[in-house]
Amino acid sequence: MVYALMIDDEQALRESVQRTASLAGLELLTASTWDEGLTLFHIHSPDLVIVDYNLPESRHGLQLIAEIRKLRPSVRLVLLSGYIDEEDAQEIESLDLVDRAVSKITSPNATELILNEIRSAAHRALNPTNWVDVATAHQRAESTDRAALDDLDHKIQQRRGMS
Amino acid sequence: MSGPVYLDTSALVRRAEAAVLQPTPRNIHSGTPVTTLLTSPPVPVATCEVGLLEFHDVVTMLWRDSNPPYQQHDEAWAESAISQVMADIAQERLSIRAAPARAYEQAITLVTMTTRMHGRKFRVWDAVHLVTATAWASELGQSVELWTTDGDFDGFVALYPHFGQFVSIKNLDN
Repeated sequence: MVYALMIDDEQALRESVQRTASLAGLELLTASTWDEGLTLFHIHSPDLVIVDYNLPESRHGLQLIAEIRKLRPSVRLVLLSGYIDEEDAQEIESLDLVDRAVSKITSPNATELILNEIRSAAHRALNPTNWVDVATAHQRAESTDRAALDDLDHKIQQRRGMS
Repeated sequence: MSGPVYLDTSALVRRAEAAVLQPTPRNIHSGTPVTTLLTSPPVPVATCEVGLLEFHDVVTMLWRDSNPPYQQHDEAWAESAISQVMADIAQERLSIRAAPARAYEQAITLVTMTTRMHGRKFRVWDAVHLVTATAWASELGQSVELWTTDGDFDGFVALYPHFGQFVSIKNLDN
């Protein structure tokens, strides 16, 4: 049963997290591009998606994450990226789009943190769907401030010289 | 057919409709392959819990309908149709798969995105059948053939061809 998906173009990181997860008896599906990740999301509908900010051959950032949130509001979304710093992470979390934003640069224990997320997802997957949580997530997704999302996307990309 | 077969509700119902005294050519055409398959399955055959529920729903609906061309679908026919499916299950010619965890949420996602992105119809119970067949294929490590008389499956897989890696659609009406 697939409960976690990681979309990241950094092969070494994907392999490292997958190896660590496997050693811990956990399963993790990985994708290197947005299209591949979205395909796997359609097919397996995992409870947890760990996604990078800057994926090759795709639009940047938060808009992509918003797309997953729109497809399934109850999915737990973790943004893991080397393009964001701690300040960006806090701003992103304040928009309520992702459940957690982690900077690869400033979080020394990022792998452990991700492993804990996968562990929690594996545990959640054993439980029946909590429809109150699903409905609450749906309401939360509807209230996402798209303009603020665009602004922050733009700001982060400017800071990193991506736009 | 080269691998496991997943029957959606329409395939099971079509076999039952082919068993009336004077079946239509369409019901004979689409129902006979299902009869042959379930008489002595050369491959694993399954549906899901929703399929069994829907089957009872449709059979009793046809039984209640006394208007042409459904007059032949009387109580005896309905009881025979249900008995036949129960015998298939009891004698393990047809297995009943539970919908995978989160199947209902996934079905909501699939039907909503099909309408939002393409303005196309994909019914929620069809989505549950597809999700269950896909999970079965993933578990087996081989493609599953989904037998149906519902053209919406072909339409959906045409829009989202990655599902075709797991499930091939066989429309019995073709």
